[in-house]
Amino acid sequence: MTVTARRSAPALEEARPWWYRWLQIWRSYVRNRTAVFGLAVVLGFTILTIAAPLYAPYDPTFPNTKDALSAPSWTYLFGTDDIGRDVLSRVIYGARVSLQVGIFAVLIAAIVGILAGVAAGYYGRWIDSTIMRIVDAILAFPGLLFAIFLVGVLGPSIRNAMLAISITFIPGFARPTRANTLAIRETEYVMSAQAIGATDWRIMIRAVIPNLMSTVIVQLSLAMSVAILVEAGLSFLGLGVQPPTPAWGSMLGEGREYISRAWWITTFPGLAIFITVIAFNFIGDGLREALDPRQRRA
Amino acid sequence: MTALTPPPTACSFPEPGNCRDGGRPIQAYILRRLLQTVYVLLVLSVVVFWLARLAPGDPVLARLGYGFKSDYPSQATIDAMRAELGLDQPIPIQYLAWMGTLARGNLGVAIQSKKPVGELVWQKFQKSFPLALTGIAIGVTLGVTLGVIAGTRPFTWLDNTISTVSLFGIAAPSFWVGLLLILFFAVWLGWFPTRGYAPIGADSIHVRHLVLPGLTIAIGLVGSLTRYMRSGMLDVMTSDYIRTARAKGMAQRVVILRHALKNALLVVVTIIGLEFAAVLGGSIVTETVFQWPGMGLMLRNAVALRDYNVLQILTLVIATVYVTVNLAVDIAYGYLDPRIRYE
Repeated sequence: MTVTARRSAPALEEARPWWYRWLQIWRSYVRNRTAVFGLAVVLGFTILTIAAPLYAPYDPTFPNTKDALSAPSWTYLFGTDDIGRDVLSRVIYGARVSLQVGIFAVLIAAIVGILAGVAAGYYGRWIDSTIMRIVDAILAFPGLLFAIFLVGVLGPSIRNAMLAISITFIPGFARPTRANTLAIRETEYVMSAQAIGATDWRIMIRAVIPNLMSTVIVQLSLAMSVAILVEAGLSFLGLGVQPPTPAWGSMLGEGREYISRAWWITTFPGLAIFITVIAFNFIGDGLREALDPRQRRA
Repeated sequence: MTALTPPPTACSFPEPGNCRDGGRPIQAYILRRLLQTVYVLLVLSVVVFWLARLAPGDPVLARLGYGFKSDYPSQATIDAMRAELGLDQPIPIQYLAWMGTLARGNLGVAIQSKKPVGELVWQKFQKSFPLALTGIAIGVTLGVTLGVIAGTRPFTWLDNTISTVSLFGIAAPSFWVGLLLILFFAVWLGWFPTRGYAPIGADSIHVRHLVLPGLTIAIGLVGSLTRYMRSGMLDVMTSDYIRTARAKGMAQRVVILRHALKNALLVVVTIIGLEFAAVLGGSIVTETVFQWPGMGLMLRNAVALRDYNVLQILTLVIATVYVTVNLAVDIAYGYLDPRIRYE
């Protein structure tokens, strides 16, 4: 009996479909309440943002001058700003900018950073030193300063803000990727792939990158939370999205002037930033626990 | 960005046996770090110089007043001005010339005020420095205290509360925190002024202006510091020498203060280096919120006025401060934890 059991065990392992591992990770993830909350918030905000035109009470850019600076009421749930625009509608539409910049800037940084890190770790020698010196140069700047400088030089716009954020996030992906690639390169499965004559490209795509994914995924959500903060900071300083497009950061910047008379202009978009950033943090913590078998809950 | 979460091994505490100052001398380590710093500063200056060339608009045309006067200057005038400014030289030569003038202490002139940039930056630095220092002082005091309280009582309600509150410090953008503080303490309670700066020596007014912006910077620091401090204390509290101290019958308070805290405080040194970027970023934003006339507000105004010369110099100065602080932190760490020198 024991013999058959021992024989069938590896067979069972092979019979599991490829997505079985992801199912396990998912099961472990949903056991974590805060992580599920984070995911719900981000998904909810994404859907609310896409569907914004369907339910947003007012046009976020339309100035209702006669109702300027009115306090929250049933007509204007979150009140209105200095030229009478509905704060609730602006918060809803402002999510577009934050999520867009947060997600896309980080994805671009991740793609560039992973490719650079894998190339550096896999090929070594001058490719490695060239790439890593460039990464070090980016790291020498405190993040927000580099973004401000770059946007200052190129001119304030959402595209330049995204570019600046992307560049500052490249080291965060390139460095761990390189370190992991160095370790993966020495494994037996990579060596055997080399022995049977697989091309470098194939090895990197099929063997190296899939094994990096768990590190990268955790990094992605944490980076997105920081990117949203940086974008809000740039917009607050007037270096991100240009008016009249609503963005959470610029709403705070514009509302600062009226803080003594209208607390609602700055409070609600700030709360929106806070909740979103916390949600991405929760997702990151949840993913770290789910992906790392040592931390996985029983 | 990894600063958000404590690393898996939050910090390495010297085991008593490893503390002997054997092996490599500290001088070699300092020299190595100094050379690295010089290299980083050179790279910084190249990047800043090169990127500043990307700025839209032709400096030659700007100098000749094109745009104000309607006539387009003749090619001969343009060439003459180009040669005068040294812009006809290849980029590397231009870079060396620029570095040369910087080295001689000539940092150029600000576009609007026509004052020398070096003098302006120094004035602003004197205003930013006390603010950043206040922020760090409050932040470190709060962060260490909260971290120790949470780390010595893991998984109690007090620990949970502190961990939740520290999450607020991490996720709330500093400009929002600043505005909330203004709202509560300046607008509603009227305890502190809403904005502005008072020179040192103006009695208690200076301090009153300093409190809210200082607190804003501090809150940005407290979040991550508390987290690191907590996990550092947790590590230390389970170590052998703490068990020994307890076995000797030492009071809990003495164990924590004399043995655990001393080692866990090493974390603070590392964090100051890591989080100094956040402090700098925080002060840029905080100075704008409170209209504090320091380097952060100057940077923001330089961008708004398209004053590329000020922007360039200020970026370089702030980055240099950052790199220098990190050098100082590394050297301090080299003294405190000899193992670091072997890296």
